[in-house]
Amino acid sequence: MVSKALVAASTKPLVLAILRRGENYGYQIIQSVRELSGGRLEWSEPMLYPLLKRMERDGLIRSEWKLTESKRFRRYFRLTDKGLREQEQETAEWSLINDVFGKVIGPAAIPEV
Amino acid sequence: MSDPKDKAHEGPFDLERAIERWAKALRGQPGIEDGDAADLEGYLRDKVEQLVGQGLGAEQAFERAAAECVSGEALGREYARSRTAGPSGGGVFGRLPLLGNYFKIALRKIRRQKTFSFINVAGLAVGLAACLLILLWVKDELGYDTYHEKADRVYRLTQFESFGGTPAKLAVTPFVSAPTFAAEIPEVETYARLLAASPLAVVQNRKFDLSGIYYTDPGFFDIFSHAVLAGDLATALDGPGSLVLTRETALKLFGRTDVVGSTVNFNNETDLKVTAVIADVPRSSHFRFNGLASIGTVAERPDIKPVMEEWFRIVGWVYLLLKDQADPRAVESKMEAVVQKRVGEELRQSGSSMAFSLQPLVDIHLRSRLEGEIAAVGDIRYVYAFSLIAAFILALACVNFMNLSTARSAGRGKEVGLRKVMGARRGNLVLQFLGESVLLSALASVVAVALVALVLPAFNRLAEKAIGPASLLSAGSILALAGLVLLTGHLGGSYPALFMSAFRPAAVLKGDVGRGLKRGLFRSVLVVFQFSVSIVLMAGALIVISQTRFMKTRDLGFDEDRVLVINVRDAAARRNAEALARDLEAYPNVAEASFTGGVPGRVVNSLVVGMEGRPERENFTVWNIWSDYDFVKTYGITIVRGRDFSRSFSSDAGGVFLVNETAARRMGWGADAVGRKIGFDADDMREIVGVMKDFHFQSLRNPIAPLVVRLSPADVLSGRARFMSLKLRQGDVPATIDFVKAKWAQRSERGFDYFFAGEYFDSLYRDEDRIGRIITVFAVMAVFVACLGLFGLASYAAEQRTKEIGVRKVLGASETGLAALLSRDFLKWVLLANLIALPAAYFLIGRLWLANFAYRTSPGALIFLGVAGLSLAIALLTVSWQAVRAALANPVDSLRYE
Repeated sequence: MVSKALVAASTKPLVLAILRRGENYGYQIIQSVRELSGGRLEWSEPMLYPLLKRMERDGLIRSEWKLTESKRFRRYFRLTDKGLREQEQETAEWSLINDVFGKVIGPAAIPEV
Repeated sequence: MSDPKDKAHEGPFDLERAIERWAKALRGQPGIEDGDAADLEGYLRDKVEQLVGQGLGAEQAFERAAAECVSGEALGREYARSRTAGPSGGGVFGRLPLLGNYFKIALRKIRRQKTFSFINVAGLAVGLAACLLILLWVKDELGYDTYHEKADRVYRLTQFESFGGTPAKLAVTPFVSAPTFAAEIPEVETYARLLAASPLAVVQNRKFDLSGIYYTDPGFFDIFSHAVLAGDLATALDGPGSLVLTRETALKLFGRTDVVGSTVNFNNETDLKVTAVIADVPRSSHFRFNGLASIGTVAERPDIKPVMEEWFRIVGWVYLLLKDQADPRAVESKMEAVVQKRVGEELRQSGSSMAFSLQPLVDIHLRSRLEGEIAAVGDIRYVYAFSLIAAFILALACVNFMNLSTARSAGRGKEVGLRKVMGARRGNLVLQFLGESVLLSALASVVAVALVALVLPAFNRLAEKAIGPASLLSAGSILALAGLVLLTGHLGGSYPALFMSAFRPAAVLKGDVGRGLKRGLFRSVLVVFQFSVSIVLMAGALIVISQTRFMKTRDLGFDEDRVLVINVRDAAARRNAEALARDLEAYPNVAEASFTGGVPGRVVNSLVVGMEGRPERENFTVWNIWSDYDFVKTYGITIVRGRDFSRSFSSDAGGVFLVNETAARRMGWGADAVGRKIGFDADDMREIVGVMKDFHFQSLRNPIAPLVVRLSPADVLSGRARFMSLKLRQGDVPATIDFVKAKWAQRSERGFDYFFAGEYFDSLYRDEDRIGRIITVFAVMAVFVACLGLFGLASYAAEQRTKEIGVRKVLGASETGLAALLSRDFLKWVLLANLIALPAAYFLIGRLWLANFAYRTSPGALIFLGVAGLSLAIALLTVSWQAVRAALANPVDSLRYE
């Protein structure tokens, strides 16, 4: 499992990155994370929903209730311009760290986490 | 979360109901809001939907989804946290609960540290009160004449003239100029000339001495705004014989104000009809009057007619109203052209000049320093000086605040440390401390307003103002006060706020702050600043007071004691003056009596004098007193050359001169002026019979000017003399005055209006008197504030050193030695303040201010030593109270105090 501190630090950038692909809803976000990580990142809804709420208050994302095929309302989130800028910066920062790791450890040496 | 499974088994499974129950239970959790519940419900449904899609039954799917959801309590906690804390949980609302805490702590501090809070609030309150008082005074001074609707278009005509090389700037101008300018310069809309009069008014056989009556033009009310109580101002001053009364005068004459149409007789000569009654003239007018009569009433009188028509006769004031958008500079150059056209030739021939300029109405009170002002004026420099003093006193109070708060901050180190450990950021702490000091200064401002309201009547007497308490409540004052509160709160709180918030929590919690504070260089600098300001003010007050005393006690060069001067205001009395003088001299207590056109302190006549055998261009302006034979004897003036006027020289009867030394020098004759001839008219040159030793006949602000005394025959005198001076012998003065009064009543219809020569001279220094008193008050306030601060610091220092003192005592230190130890530090700084402030005071007041006076005291070492001694004594007294208390304390207690 990934350490708690790292999970906490990476949640927001990951949400931003996922939403960058297009609008999405809470359940699907959690699913995406699980799939993308091959089941090694397991987010829980008490972690995600308050975070989404906070991000919306900070103006990074915007939400909208939409009617689904099964005739019920579901809240969809998408990036605002500010969120987009934030996402780009976060990505740059993460890839910087990633680069540094790559240089320190060498590409071959990265072990399976 | 309650377990939904139990209920699900009660009947056939209903997914909707199960979800509803689940959501309801969720909403019951603290920290979860409706919106949050809806989100989570959506999540649950998504999960169930997916599980059903994978082939599970509804019931199974729901149970698994619900089980995978985290407990409601955990959810609630997460939501609550995301709302209150963290870097992005910002906004004012995020801080609200803390604000309450700050407020509680602030109030607790005030309650717990009563002495400190008292000193802090009292010091600031006194400082604010002083500042407010000064601001009210400044506002009052700046507000003169602004109530006139057309104030921005009203100008007073002033004159810069030079006759025979004696330049003069005059507030009075020739009356003929006004109609001439109005006719020839299109920008001049209208004008009002003012001719002052003090008539005897007769109303239904009752007589009243009036003063402050002006004859003026119908344009007066177009220029000045006055509230009318009865009558029509548009026509009130038309035609001869119209009279406008102020409310006060109407009440005095008639006992009521609805008197339009009534008749008032002036001087038993002229009947005037009351055409309007107006409200009393506001105190914020640069001149006040009791009544206005139409100038047409007197314009044709043989003694007034020339005054109305001649360019070189000046008797009164002229106000002009310019048209909208008119440029006063352009009008001035047009006036110059008019003057050249009318009298240019005459001026060139006599080598004289005369130029008019326009003085804005609102500038008259503070920015006018002209000869012949219509009433006493203020001085903008005092407005600046007092504003500066206000700023300094405020700074003083702020310094106290900073000083005490910083000193006390050691005690709050733990609080700061704890707050920091608990996650307070520097901004929070700065906010908290600034908030506290704003709270204290708000408290102080309430006290200050109460204080000002309390002392306002006394201040008004002192400053000769009539500032109403209402002006405290005006929007401007309240805004200013709010501004002051915020300013002092921030100024006073900023240092402690920045200083304390920079504490390192680890060091603080280990108890390490005190050490840095004890050195407290910054605080010492502030003490020096405070005392410097106080010392400058004290020295300033003393210098102003000593200059006023100097002027009042200086030998004026004549004998001012027991010289009674009667104002002679009616023609009948003037005609009988000579006879009256002889009557009075018969009384044993009257030594001399003299009837003159001027007396020392009130010489108003200045004329151009020519010298026999010298070209006209050497003529110059002298002050002149029309006199009978007895002026020199009455005033005990010394004759240095020649002789006094004498009835035994028949040649004197036609008119001869006495001149003062300055005039003799100016004439270029010096010692041999006696026997030469001078005159105000080339055809009428008269002999100088004696030279008087220079004496002061004007304020000591001015150097002694050339003065001539012209002996005049009785018929000339009756038209020109105004004062009857009596030299009284030692004895029963009140009885003598009663006798004179009785004799006077037989010869004059006017009331008995008298003054003593010395008294009147003193009244010339009312300004200086007043300024001296005001500065004294503020100096005392400043000293008080500074002492409060010192007291607070001393008590703090004593407290900090309790243990040290205990140890020293146990080891055998004497109480005196300890008290000295504790006082020494502060006295050192006060001494330094003296070194800074005394030269500053010497330069500012001892040089700059005193330079306004031709005759001045030299601020002696005594004043400065006195101030230095006083400041040290006050400081010592303040500090030693605490020092002695600490030194006397039982060492057992002080060593055990923790």
